[in-house]
Amino acid sequence: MKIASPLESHILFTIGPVPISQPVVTTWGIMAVLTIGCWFLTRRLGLRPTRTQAALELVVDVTARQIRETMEAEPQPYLPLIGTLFIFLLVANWSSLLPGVEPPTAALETDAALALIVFGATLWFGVRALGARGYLRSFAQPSILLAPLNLVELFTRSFSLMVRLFGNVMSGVFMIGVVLSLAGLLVPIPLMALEMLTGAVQAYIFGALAMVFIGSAISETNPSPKAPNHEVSS
Amino acid sequence: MRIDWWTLALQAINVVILVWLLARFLFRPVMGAIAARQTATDQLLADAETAKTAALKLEADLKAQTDAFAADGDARRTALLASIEAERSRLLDAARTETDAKAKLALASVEDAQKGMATQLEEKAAVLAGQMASALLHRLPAGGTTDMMFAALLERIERLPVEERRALAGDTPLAIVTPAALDGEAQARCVQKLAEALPGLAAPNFTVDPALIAGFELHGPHMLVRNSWRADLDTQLAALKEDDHAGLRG
Repeated sequence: MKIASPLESHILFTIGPVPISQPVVTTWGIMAVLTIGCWFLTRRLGLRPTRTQAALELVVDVTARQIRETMEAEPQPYLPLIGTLFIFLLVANWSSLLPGVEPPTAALETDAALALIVFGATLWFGVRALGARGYLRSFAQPSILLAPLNLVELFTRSFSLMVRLFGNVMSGVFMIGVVLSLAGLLVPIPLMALEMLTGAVQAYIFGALAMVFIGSAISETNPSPKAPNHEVSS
Repeated sequence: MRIDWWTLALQAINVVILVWLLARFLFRPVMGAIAARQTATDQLLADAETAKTAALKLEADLKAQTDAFAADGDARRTALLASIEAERSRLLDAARTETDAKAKLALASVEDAQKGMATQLEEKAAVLAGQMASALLHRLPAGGTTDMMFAALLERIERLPVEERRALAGDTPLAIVTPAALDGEAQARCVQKLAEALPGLAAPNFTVDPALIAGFELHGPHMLVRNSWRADLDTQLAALKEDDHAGLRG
């Protein structure tokens, strides 16, 4: 059995000149499920919460509290981005549990797109909070001599964000595929459970690092906002 | 390795759209629900605080009202007690005054009754004394008492001043009153002796009055000489009355 290269994109169909690859279609499916599910779950919110509403509020409130504690700022402007990144990555990473579905985060383009969004969001929120000059001046902190390093870090950390996610998810999928091709149906199950854990951890790491990057951008006096309690590097 | 830029662009667009969709259908409604609950909770707390403040104010007002009622009740009770005490004193004074007046009236009435009874008793006593004296007198010889009383009359006449004896002698017609009729000899003897005591005496008349009990009296138009037990009893009675009046005045 030939195992496809995880670095190759599989084009399913084209719309005009635009090729539609498998990760894009999977992402659309995830978007549809999340959107419809959220619409269904949030259509009847009230002052007296049901169990479902309580669970939703718990997720949102925990995310908002994480943003507040990590970025030391009000979470409202950042909650949709950070929360969406976490939920999407979690669902995308766990989508590999469905038979025949390959997680979109196992494709380098998806992780690059996510890292690019975090990169753009960092610039956007930093300029909005400090102004263009203030944001540029923040690169010269604590010394002008460190400005080149800070500039390089701006790109490298986004790149590391992409590579970390891609490496973890892709390796898990690839390893499960290899084991599945060699040992049969039941043997990969422990690896799949481990992949679930890895997927959740990677979703959390990606969201936490996005908070750290944006938090450092909006804080002129505190370029390194408080990191979450957990170790986020992998 | 080859990067599919179309996929990268589409995935970036997809994630941006997903951010908008989840913001629209998840984060905004849930945050809105949390904010609404927080607002409702704050409103409830504010309402509870307001209600608590109002309750405390109402409690203070009620306490003040109760205290005012109690103070007013005390004042009214004190005023009522004072009024009752004043009315009691007034009634006691009125009753005391009325009682005193009634006691005085009763005392006066008793005194009047006693006085009337005393007078009646005195009069009865006088009458009884007269009857007893008359009864006792009948046991004595008639001549002895008559001579003795006539001698007393003569002695009394002799103690009168000369002018009065002269006036008595000329006060005609003069009547000699006796309790019983005198015989002719006794009348002649009486006239003789009176003529000796009263020179120029005209012939007197003899009149009988049993009320005299004993003795002789001379009754003229202008003068009167009493010398009888009746006169003595009357004198005693008048003296007793005078003593009673003097005792009441004292």
